[in-house]
Amino acid sequence: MPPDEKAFEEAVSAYYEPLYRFALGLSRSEADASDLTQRVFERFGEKSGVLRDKAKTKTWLFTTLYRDFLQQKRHTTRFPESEWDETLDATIVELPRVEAAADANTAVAALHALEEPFRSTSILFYLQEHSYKEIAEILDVPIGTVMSRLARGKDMLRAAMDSSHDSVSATNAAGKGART
Amino acid sequence: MTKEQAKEILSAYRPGIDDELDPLFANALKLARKDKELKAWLADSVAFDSRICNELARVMAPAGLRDSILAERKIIRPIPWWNRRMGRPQMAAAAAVLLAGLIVSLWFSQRPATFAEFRREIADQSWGSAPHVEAKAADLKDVRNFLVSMNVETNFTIPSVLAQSAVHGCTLIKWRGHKVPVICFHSEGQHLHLVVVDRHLFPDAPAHVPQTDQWQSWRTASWSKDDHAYVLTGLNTTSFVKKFRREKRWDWEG
Repeated sequence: MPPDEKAFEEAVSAYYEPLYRFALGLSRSEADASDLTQRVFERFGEKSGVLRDKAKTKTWLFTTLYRDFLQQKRHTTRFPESEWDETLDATIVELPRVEAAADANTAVAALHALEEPFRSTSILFYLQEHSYKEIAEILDVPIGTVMSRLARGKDMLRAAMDSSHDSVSATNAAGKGART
Repeated sequence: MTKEQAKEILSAYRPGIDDELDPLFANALKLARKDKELKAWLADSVAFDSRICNELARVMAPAGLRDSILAERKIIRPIPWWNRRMGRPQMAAAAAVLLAGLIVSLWFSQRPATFAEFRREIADQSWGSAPHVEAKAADLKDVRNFLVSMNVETNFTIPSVLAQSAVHGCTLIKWRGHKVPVICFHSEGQHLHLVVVDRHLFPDAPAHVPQTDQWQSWRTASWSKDDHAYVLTGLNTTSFVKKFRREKRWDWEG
């Protein structure tokens, strides 16, 4: 296997899952997350310089994916969903999915529900792939901004998880009450 | 440093990942060691973070994503089987596989296939083991030339958005005795395979309007036009087709 191929395969194996998790958190869509992940590796494959510098690879991948997401978001804003032709959409027949929908656990659901820019900062933090300095570099913000976003993001996350826990408890209690 | 300032700094501290001697964390950690309330807050914060990290790590990427990314870089002409060296065990295994294949194909040839079967089998085959592209091609003209050289008809029509996409290559899959072309495209970060087949082979060939389905990790969109039926497969084929239909760009080349 040529060296570039080997480096490419190693990078894919090492980072495709954390990149997908980051992309899923950003886009909140499995299809878009797969697209973003594929696209970042496509660009990575074209950058032989990055392939040679392993130390920079990870940060480059996350930075590029994040920028791509922002660019895509700007594009979506220019072509908002209201332009969707409902009659045209109705003609596409969606057959039932073979596999069950992804398990939406409370913590991840709460993380994905955070508003930007707290969501991207928190996901990078919880992925445990980068130092806070690298997170600042990826998001192109000062370190102090990363700190304050994390602190606020964590507060929001706790509140969301507590309220979700309370509503589950209330539902369970109501269920028990109904059975007795 | 106040407690609130320390809390904000320590919100970004992950034991084992961040350096506790880092000047940013060192003072806040020193304060937490002295202050009982702050120490308890930090322990609680670390436990909370650990829970989120564990749950986030359980989010799995789609099964075919890694293979799809890698497959893009493995487009090479394969070595023909007669040029490969085989030992006795491999030859015996190959003979057994051949025999089993003959039995299965005989059984299959007794009944007509449905389009749903074709769609699933072809999605599996087209994304099978690398290399998945037999001949590299720069554009659709190259693809058609390759197909002509393989005695395969080329009077099929491709949606404009695909025709304008980057072509990687083409391969021929043998499906129940039929040569089925699979064209490999790359469009806006998506790796897609377009399969072209004679629609008259199937009593239940799809309509003109794309019909979507999912088979394992692969999404498919299928439609018919004139004498051919088409299956577009990839990880996100549905969103691809929907996007161009939404933008009213799902028309036909030529």
